Amino acid sequence: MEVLDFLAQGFATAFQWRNLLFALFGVIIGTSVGVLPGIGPMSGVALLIPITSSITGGLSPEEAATSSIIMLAGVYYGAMYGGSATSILINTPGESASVVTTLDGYQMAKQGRAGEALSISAIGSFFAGIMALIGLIFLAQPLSDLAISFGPVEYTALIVLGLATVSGLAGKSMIKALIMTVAGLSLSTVGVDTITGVARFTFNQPILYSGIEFLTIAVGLFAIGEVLKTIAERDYIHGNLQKINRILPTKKDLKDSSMPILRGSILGFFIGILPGAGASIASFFSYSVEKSVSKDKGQFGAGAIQGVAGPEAANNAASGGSLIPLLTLGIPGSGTTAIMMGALLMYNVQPGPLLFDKHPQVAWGLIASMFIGNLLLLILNMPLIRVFAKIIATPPKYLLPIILAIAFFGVYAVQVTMFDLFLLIACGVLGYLLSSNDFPLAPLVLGLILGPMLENNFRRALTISNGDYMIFLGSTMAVVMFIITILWLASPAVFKVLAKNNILNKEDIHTED
Amino acid sequence: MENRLVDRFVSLIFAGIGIALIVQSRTLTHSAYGSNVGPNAFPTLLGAVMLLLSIILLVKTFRYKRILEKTKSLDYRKFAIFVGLMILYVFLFEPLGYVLSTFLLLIIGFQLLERGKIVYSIIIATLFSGIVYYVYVSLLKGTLPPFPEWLVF
Amino acid sequence: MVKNLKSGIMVMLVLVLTVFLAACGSGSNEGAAGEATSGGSEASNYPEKPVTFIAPSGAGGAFDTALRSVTKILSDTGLVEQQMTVEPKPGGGGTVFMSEYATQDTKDDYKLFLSSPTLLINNLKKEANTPYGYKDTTPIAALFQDYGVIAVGADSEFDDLQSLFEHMKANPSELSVAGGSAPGALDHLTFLIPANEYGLDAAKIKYIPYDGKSESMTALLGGNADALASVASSVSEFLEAGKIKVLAVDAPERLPAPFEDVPTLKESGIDAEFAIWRGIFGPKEMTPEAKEFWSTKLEEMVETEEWQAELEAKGWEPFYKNSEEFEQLLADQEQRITDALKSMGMANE
Repeated sequence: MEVLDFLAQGFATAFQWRNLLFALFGVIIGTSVGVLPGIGPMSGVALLIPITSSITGGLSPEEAATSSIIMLAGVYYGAMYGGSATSILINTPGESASVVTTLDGYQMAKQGRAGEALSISAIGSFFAGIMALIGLIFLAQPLSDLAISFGPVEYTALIVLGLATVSGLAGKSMIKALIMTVAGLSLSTVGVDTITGVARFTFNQPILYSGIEFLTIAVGLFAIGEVLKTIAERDYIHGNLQKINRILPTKKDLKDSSMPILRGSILGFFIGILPGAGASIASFFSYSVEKSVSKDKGQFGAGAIQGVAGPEAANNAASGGSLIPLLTLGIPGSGTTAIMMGALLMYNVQPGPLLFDKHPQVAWGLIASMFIGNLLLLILNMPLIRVFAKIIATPPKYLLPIILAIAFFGVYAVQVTMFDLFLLIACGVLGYLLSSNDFPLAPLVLGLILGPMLENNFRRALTISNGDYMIFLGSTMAVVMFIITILWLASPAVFKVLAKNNILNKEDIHTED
Repeated sequence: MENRLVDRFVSLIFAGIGIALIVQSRTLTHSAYGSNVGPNAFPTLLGAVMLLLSIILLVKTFRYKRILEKTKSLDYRKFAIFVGLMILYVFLFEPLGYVLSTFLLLIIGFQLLERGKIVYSIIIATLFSGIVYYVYVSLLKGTLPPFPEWLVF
Repeated sequence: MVKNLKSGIMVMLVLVLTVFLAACGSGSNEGAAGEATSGGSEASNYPEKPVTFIAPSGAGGAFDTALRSVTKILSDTGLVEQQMTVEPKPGGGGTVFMSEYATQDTKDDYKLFLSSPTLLINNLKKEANTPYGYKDTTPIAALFQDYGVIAVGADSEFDDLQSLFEHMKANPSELSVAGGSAPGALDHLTFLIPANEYGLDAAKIKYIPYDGKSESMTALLGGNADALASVASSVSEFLEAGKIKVLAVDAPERLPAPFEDVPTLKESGIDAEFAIWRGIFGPKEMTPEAKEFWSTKLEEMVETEEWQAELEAKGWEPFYKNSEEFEQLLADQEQRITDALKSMGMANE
């Protein structure tokens, strides 16, 4: 088989000492950069491109391209992992894909299970990476055709489904979750409209032209909100948070997470293939799926390991999947792959439909490097978890103000405006008020992330149909997704009726009646 | 708890936001060249959905059972002090520069949460602000407010 | 009272220490502190830190590609020692970027960008415009030209521009055209100007804007658009791979491979030319040192063999203009675009 030959070559390249070193270096830097909020995989990779090019300076162009892309892949995975670590440890998502990890990861950490959460995240990511690699090798061509056939109508349906499932999963009241989702979507319309360039809801303030930054909102709502909550509830007084009991997951943890990891990997891979959809939708979908198949739904949001394992696997698999459109068509499927593509261009390697014909070594080296990156991450992070987990053993007296300082730093580093710092404080207060009244925060953040995608595809679809809304029912795939959406939204009401007749699940309806 | 009151109040606020969205959208242009769907369509739709959802929530609040929950006594005083501290921090961020303002934020924050161990506090605050500044500005060439001019000599 | 006194002393202590620490630290930080306040008072050692080049379009798009070529050659040839990074900034066909740049980065010597006539169009069209035009920037140099193309999918029923236009004339609002920039912007005009010339009703052409040229290409490849307006350099790989058919190029004469079989607009019987330059801009209040630095470096760059090779490889036509010539060109073109937009009722009055 030609494919396997090439892959073997790719591995041979990736396993050269030099490249292993590059990958190792990349993973270390990536992880340390990724722990800073605001510096996610995308800016991490972007920041390090210049460094890579100077390190690889002495090599031949083809070798330099391969080595640097391997190192950047390492940075990418490291940064993804670093982002998850802050979500788990201090409730601060570093980038959109790790927002969902905060829901259960942070709860686990509060219960002294940070070690398990971190290691399951590394293990889940590793398996997902392997699954994505297998998928990439065997399914790249047929799937890329499917992925590009996804048009505005299908994207609209997919995003609506994504938003609906998230609204069903977070918090006690679906109606409140839906309100938060719509609020997030509304926030995303602030700024210059990306299709026409009209300024909307900016009140003539230039600072609002570029819209409201996701990072500021997420860090404010989650990190600052949590600090303020701890202060208001005097939680810091009772001495240290729980001790870290263990680093490795228990047998039970592994058993509980194996299916979520598998499901998350598959789901993540397929969603990742769609250009633009990417890791954040995948992780949210995975969380919804895990919660809905779980027998013990009450555990979710209170430290369920499935709620960390599934989404973490999904977002890693999605980054593997997003390489498919890049490698087969030269279309970057996500911001980070776009930057990697830029790195390839620096070495005169033009990604595109001809990449595999013209530069097989680079293409397959990149695929193999995915594997190496994941493996190194796993090996490297097991000992690192101990270090990370120490962070929450810091007395809260010191930890809380430091979290504040990190949050302000992260936002300023990316935005460099005073406005965002004030917004950050406002979001912190708002985050506390909302969450303490059972208004879930995750749907708002997801709405803000997906808003522009939803709106643009919605408008493109209507433009194609000359304003006829029936176009949304013209695609089978979209219709199926809309039906699932409706079922999902209707199901709590159905359950409630059932619960009134029987004595089904008191927990769920408790606050709504 | 005051859950009921809060939810009623919040639903009214969101209803207001919904109406504002619809009204504001009317001032936007209705079409774009090459398309008959303008930038107003989506916010209008959102406003309508928001209004609908908040009415549902409002109606629901009237059906809440009065559940007596054990209310935690909340430390709103310290909460407010910390919000004030953050606002002060942001105001001093550029005039004082990153290192000084962050140092102050940390020291005051540490001491507000628990009096004492001043030496530790100073060491930690100095290390944190100094290291972040050095790594980010000197090594990674990022931008953070520098030391104020009156200190540079 | 005692408590208050204690905390008072504490605050004092903290302040004294702060000042002390700052004094110690400032010696080594003088460079960093001076950087923000200096502005050419001493001998210029610009650039002292990495320079960011913004591509106001999607990643992998035409601007992005162009900037990566420029920065790569500047650093390969050793003309610029300092690190240069390229950052894509999509949205609103560049208006999102421009509103930010023209209001917040007017003095940032370390942030440059590349643009095309889009910069002018966004300022001139009637709706959905930005109040900021080339006068809110410092034009540094025009580097090369790219050519507009009109393409369809490989299995499309249309083999030439006439049959596509005829079909659209007979069945208005049936076919959709994808482009990588906002309505009224460059890709839209690439299609509209010849279509208008051919006698189609501009208002009835359905134009679907995407965030960048690779997104619009995806729409064409996936069958979610019937035609595509783009530029030669962005479609050449796809033409070579046989994924699309290019119906016409907007160039004075035929372009080299893989475009050798593609007729020009003139050959297709349409007389409408719209050349697309690419040029580098700095912020409005750029310091003379920075402007001088880049003008010199870019002038040297266009003379290098590497640049010539790059132009050939990417299918770009050399089009160097220095700062003054560039500004003159911009003024002329502003007039021409205003006329074109006016004739279609799309000008900003």
